[in-house]
Amino acid sequence: MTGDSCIAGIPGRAGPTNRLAAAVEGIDFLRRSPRAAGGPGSHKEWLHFVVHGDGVDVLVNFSIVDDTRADHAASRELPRIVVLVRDRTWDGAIELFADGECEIDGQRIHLRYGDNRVEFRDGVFFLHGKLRHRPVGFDLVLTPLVVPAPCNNIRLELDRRPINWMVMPRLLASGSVRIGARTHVFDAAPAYHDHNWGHFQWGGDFAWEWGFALPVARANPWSLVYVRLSNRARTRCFKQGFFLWHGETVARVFREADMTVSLAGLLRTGSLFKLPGVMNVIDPGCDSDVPRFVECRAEGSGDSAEFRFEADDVAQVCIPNDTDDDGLTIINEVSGRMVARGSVGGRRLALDGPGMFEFVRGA
Amino acid sequence: MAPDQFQDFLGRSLGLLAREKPSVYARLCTLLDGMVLSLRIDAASVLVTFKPGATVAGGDSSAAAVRVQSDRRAILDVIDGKSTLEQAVLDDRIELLGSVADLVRFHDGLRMYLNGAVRAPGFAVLLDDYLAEGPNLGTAHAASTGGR
Repeated sequence: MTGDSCIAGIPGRAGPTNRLAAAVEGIDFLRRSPRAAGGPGSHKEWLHFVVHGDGVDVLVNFSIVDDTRADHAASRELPRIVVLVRDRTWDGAIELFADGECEIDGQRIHLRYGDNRVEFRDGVFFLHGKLRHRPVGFDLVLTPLVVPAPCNNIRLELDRRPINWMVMPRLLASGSVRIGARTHVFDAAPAYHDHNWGHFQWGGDFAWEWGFALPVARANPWSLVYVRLSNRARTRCFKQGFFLWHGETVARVFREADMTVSLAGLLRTGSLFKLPGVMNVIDPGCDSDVPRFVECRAEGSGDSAEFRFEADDVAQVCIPNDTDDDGLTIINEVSGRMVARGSVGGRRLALDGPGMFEFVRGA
Repeated sequence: MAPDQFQDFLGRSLGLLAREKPSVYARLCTLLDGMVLSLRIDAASVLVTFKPGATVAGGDSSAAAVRVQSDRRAILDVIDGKSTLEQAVLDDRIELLGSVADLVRFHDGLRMYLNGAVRAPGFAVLLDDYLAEGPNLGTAHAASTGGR
């Protein structure tokens, strides 16, 4: 079987089907904050991409959020990019851009922040970037392989406005990433994308665990996403889900009582890469409460599935709370490997491959 | 880099903190009220005096409660996570002089200042300017505010 073949509903490398491209255009477009038009503030929106290459992980996150400081222009938005790369070690940066450096089009995916841009055109995502102060650059084309799934009206804080999430866990990435003197070339590497928008405040009473895994074998039709939302202390789980795609489409969603989740062990690393770098002074040390393993079992209506994610390494994106002047919310970006097994709709689930999880924690 | 560039950076950063995160600036001034801070970074010497609601450039050097001596490379290595603050002090790359009580207060103030810095969008541009003016160290990713 060649890499160009269409396998079990997964389109070939030549490009996405028109149906897939239309599905992406129909849901994956910038919403923008309603504040300038008199709507509520605290809007946050981001486009998240992860690519797994041979010995390299790449995370790129374009965001635009309302400037919520009380004494600042009510219509101001802050465009940022977060880039995390990992080959021998972690590298990356958070960069913020001035209005004059940016082009941001609503109703489609077209953002340019300085030398960084993301665009959905002709059925594929173009990602290009170059960090200002780190020797990191990327030039990637991501081809969607699965239909995006909307998850609307998710309440992170029970008394607040909801957020929305669009997830598209499987794309093919081609192109290159430069880290220092090393250039990693990607040819149909597995990739992930999601898009979030809505209203919430960092520091609010919420935490999330979220992750995905993709099979190493291109012919494997399965892809997997897991999510669990809780209060900040993680004593109450508000919502949990275990999504399985088979081919282009969602094959099964396990929710709430269908699932049993356990976190085991603690990931320990000799050092801990943090963004922004100054967090090494504000919040020093390399301890985290990232679990070594996440195990999930789910069953219902004759289907059953289980996975075990083993964390390998972690980097932290540290976000100042909106709710106070000295608290932080830590997003632990954890690379690792997953094995999943099960039976869904009479089809055997077998997935073994790389994944990335996020564990959001208060600090 | 000219000796006055660090002084310019520090002065601008405190002004920016006062404008962009006035609540943090006010708390910082209260925390360090009465303290004279002496900073010597490479060839640049700066005195800062903290008063209620304000910081003043200058002061009586002999009255400095905390003296900090270091160089640009050591500061950026700490910010980049290549060295912890504690290790840089133990290695004498950052020298801190003062009573234990004043050093603890200074450390609390440093963390408060940085917590304000990561919440003030203008710091990214300020740090970009500072890094651009200095020798090309090629490693700093300090020019970030936190967020996503």
